[in-house]
Amino acid sequence: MRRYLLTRVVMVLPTLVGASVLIFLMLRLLPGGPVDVLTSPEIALPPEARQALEAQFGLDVPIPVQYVRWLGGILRGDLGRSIRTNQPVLQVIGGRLPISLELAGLSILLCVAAALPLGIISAVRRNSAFDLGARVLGLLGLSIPNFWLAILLLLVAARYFNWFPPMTFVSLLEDPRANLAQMVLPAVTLATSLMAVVMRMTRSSMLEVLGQELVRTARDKGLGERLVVAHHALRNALIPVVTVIGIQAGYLLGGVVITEQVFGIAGMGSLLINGVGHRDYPVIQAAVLFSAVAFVGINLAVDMLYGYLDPRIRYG
Amino acid sequence: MRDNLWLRRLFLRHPIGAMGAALIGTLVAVALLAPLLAPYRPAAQIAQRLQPPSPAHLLGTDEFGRDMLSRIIYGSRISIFVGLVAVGIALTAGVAIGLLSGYFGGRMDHLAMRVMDIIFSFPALILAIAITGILGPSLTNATIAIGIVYTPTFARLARGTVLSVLQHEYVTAARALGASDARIMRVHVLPNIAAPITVQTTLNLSTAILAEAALSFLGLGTQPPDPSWGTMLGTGRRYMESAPWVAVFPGLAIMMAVLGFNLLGDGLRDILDPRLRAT
Repeated sequence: MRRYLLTRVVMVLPTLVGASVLIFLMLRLLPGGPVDVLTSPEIALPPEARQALEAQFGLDVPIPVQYVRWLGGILRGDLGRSIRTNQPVLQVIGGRLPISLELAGLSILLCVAAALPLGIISAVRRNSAFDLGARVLGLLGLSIPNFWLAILLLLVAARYFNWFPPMTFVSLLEDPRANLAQMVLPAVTLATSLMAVVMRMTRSSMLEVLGQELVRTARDKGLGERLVVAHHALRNALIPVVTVIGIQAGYLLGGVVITEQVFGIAGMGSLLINGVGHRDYPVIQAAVLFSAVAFVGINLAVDMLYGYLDPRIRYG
Repeated sequence: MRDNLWLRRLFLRHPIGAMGAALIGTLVAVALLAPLLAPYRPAAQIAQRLQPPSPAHLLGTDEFGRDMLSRIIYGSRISIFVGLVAVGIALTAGVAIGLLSGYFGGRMDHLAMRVMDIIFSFPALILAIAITGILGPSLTNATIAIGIVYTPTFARLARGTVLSVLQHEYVTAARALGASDARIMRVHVLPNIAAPITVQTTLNLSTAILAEAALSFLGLGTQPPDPSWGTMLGTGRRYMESAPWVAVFPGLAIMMAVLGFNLLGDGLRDILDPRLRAT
């Protein structure tokens, strides 16, 4: 098993290098460079001035050299400087990452806290009114666009509670209450679709396990229903649920972008959108690559969790 | 009369899929008949701005005094168009890649799958944002981006199914009888991968429509004045406190379309592949 995990970790590296090449080439080969965005199209830029700008951004050398420089920088912890603000990209990300992480973490917490009980009760009381309600809720949650949900939540908060999202961000350490008040609606927004998926998976997985031999044996041994569900069924049913949470990580990372945009939260998502708007290459590269690393990393972690949850799995 | 009975039976046996089919049927009908159904032209500024719903404007008017109902009706065309074209790109490219690399294996297979892994290592929406951001915001570019992002899903699915079909003895038998690769693929492999691909296509139509709406909402997809639901929502949200209908109805339309394809996909899965009946 240790060997499998090692190969799995080693396999991740070429994928991430490939991802970095892809994002780098995409930005370089497609029309419209950062110099075009910085300078107004009406004023013809003298060739010398353009060359000077390109040299300043390191765009004057062949693309492979640019790539190697960039990759070498990453390994030294240098992601370059933002073309627009001239701040080191690493520093910009350092300020924004914790905010996005908090948002993502809160959403997962909310999602699990709601989805697991709903899914379990739904499965145990199959075809009851509760089950039907939960399933309808799940389908709705799956289909509601998160940006629309965000708008609806803001609308309800403003109309009926006279609450507006604050303009300035307060960090969790500074003022936990104000920070959570800010984060609760975005987290609910993100958690909703996530919850729908996880709940549906929990339900079907529980249903499958509840029909299995080990559960029947446990019941025949005279164990109480509560213990059977909690101890025997749940542990086994959780395995596919964990996978689904992992798969949803991709959705979560994308959802963060939109949610941050609607609620005006200065996290990684709005960094990406701003970067795209200004063709700020170093910022886009870093933000997109970062999301890929996070995504791949989460999936790797989920794979490793398998072994813990189900010792029967022997990685071959 | 017989047709009626058949329909009723379908509804009773597969209520979820039938509900989805009904929703999608309505959506397609609305898109096709848009010029007949819409009371006004979608870009016509015919009334006072931000009027609440009234008999003259059933869903109110937007910030330019355009009829919301007409815009939402015409918006269905954009959603369906993007959904079909983007999923068409992903389906064609993905199935071709998956089929060929699964069938022939070897170095090409390895290379193709690594490339798919790389595309897959980005969260879909983030990659789509980056691609449209770089190509320049437009409906066409958003469609291309969504198509690229969903290609690996089809490639992996097709490849996996091909590999399992090739294990069967009838393929070996066909080969022993001298059937060509092209014939084996056409007669034995394609029909077998049709069912999972159909289900995946339906489900992907919902994610593609959602992705178009999201990109347009962020200003990267359909550009004004074209009536995309996402764009309407994106521009309308600035007025939502005084005119909530501008932000509420386009979102509702997106949700119904997405729900329709989700239900239809679930239903198709039950019908086409009972083994897959899960989430």
